[in-house]
Amino acid sequence: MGMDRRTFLKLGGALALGSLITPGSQLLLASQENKTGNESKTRWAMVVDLDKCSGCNKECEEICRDENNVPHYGNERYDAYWLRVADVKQHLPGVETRERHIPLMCQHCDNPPCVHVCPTKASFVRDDGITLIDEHRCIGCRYCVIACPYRARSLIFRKSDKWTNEEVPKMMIGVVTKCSFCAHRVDKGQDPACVEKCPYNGLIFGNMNDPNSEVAKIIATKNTKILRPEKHLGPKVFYKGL
Amino acid sequence: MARKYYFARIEGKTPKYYWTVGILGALVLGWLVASYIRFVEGMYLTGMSHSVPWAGCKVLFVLFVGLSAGSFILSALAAIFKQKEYKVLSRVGGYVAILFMLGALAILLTDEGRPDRVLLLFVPGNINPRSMLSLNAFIYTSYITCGILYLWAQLREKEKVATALGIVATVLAVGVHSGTGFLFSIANGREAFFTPITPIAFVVAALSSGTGIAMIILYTTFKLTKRTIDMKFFIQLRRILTGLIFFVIYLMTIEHLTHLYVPEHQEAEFYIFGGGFFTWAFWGGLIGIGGLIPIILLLNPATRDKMKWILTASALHVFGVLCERMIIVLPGQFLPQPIMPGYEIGSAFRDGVITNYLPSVAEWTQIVGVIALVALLYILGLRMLPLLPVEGKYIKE
Repeated sequence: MGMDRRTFLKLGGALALGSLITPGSQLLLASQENKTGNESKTRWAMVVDLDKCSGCNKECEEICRDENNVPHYGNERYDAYWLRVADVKQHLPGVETRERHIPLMCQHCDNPPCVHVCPTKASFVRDDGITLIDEHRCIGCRYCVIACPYRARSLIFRKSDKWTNEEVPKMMIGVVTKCSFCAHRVDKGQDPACVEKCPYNGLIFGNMNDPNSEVAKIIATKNTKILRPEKHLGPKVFYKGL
Repeated sequence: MARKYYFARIEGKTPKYYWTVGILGALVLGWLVASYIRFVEGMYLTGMSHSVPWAGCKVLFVLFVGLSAGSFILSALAAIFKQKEYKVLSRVGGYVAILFMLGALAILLTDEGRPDRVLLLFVPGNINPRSMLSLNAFIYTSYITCGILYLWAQLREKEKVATALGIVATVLAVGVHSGTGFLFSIANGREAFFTPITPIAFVVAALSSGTGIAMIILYTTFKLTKRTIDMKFFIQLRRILTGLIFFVIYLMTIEHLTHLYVPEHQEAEFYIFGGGFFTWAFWGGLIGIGGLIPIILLLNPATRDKMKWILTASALHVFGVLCERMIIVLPGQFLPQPIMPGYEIGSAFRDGVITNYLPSVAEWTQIVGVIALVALLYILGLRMLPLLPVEGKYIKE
């Protein structure tokens, strides 16, 4: 066969490269398919009724802190938040500007950038669509804090002894933390703490794949909005009356 | 006719040497202590916040990753492209490249919230192919391993092995820089980060700043150890550096013009160019001190052949690249993320606020300590390994 050494080397090199690329791309595809939720029976979602939210004393922030042992050091620079109530104003010509209040928490995306960038798979999406952090696997690199478009993630900057709810572990220092939709309560069939204890019943929680659930009905009215739709992340917190 | 260089260790018995080792050692100790306290007490000791989670240490990290490549490529020129006259630099260049990468990893490691868990990155079940950081852990370690093997081959005078390893490590070096650039450019959440040009700009700025720092280190080392070195290298390197500086400025122009034309990204650009620290860092630091002045110095016939001015230009350009790294890492985080575009937003979590960041004492100690670590390992290496040529000139056999 008239194959000189150069051709042989070229072919061999191409084969070697190809064999390297194929498993790599399959890994990528596999990780793409991993984005769960759509086929699973349960997909937890939350509807925030902004018409009911009065901003009160931002009680849900406190409720959330006590439920999940989220530390509060009294320093704005490094206070951790799982849920925060932001004050928003929209300036429109001819319309009187009115301050509104909007609870912001982890949006539990279908396509979460924080999970994509996590180098140790400490952030992951559960089969029911809840994004969680394995705090024992987190190395505190904070890449997910960079990647999250909703600023839902906080780092535990300082040692915390807060342990108001013994069902949930104390916060570990140096790792990233965020809203878990109160997974420990959801697994027992309860609603998240903020939903249950909101004095105005402004938050509704349920399975959006179940057409009879309240959230699915509200979402079906198409009166809800998601935040940052341009990012194509598929968040599961829906805002009504925005 | 074979040309052969002879390499030797330095004596390293002068009081000056011991003093240098002592001072650098103290600074390295400072880094270890600061890192330990930061790890135990928590990161509130740094100047970082939830809005700016990557800060000073990351700037040094990306700068060092860059410097590593430039030195490596210089070293590999002799091995790969058979540029015999660069053989003088092959050992010391390779060694400096390894040290800069080690320094980069040292600062990266001690900047983590949980450095004790870093081995989790290498547990097979944890590897996340979608995460650039997860892949980078492997690219960085293979680059260092390859670099060490390359240095070993150089020390043992195994020409063919050195050539092969040099090629592999050069490819890995490009991977290391593109990977580091990708860390930022694929961050979905921050508008100012997203640009496909960052990985390329990283490679180019790495080469230019690396060439600059390598020239400074080599010249200083040769001078202090009373060796002579042929001006020819520096003339050639000067030409490479000039081209690379032009390329860096070109890429920066493209990146910022692209952002300026797109309304979605304009806010970030107006923040960078609207006055304030980053405007100074860009126009003064990157374009002025790091770009135009070095180019004038390197092209002007009156200055371009004088060692003093070549080195000045190199140092200024390294400073310019430091400013560039700052502009990549910081302003994208300072700017509030538009969670609700069109609304004015405010909360106790600093939503909608332009944040600020100043490195704390702990971070300065870490940054200075890691720079000292690289310098310390360098002068210790000169004494322990035969890295420097006996004379700058080759000996004909």
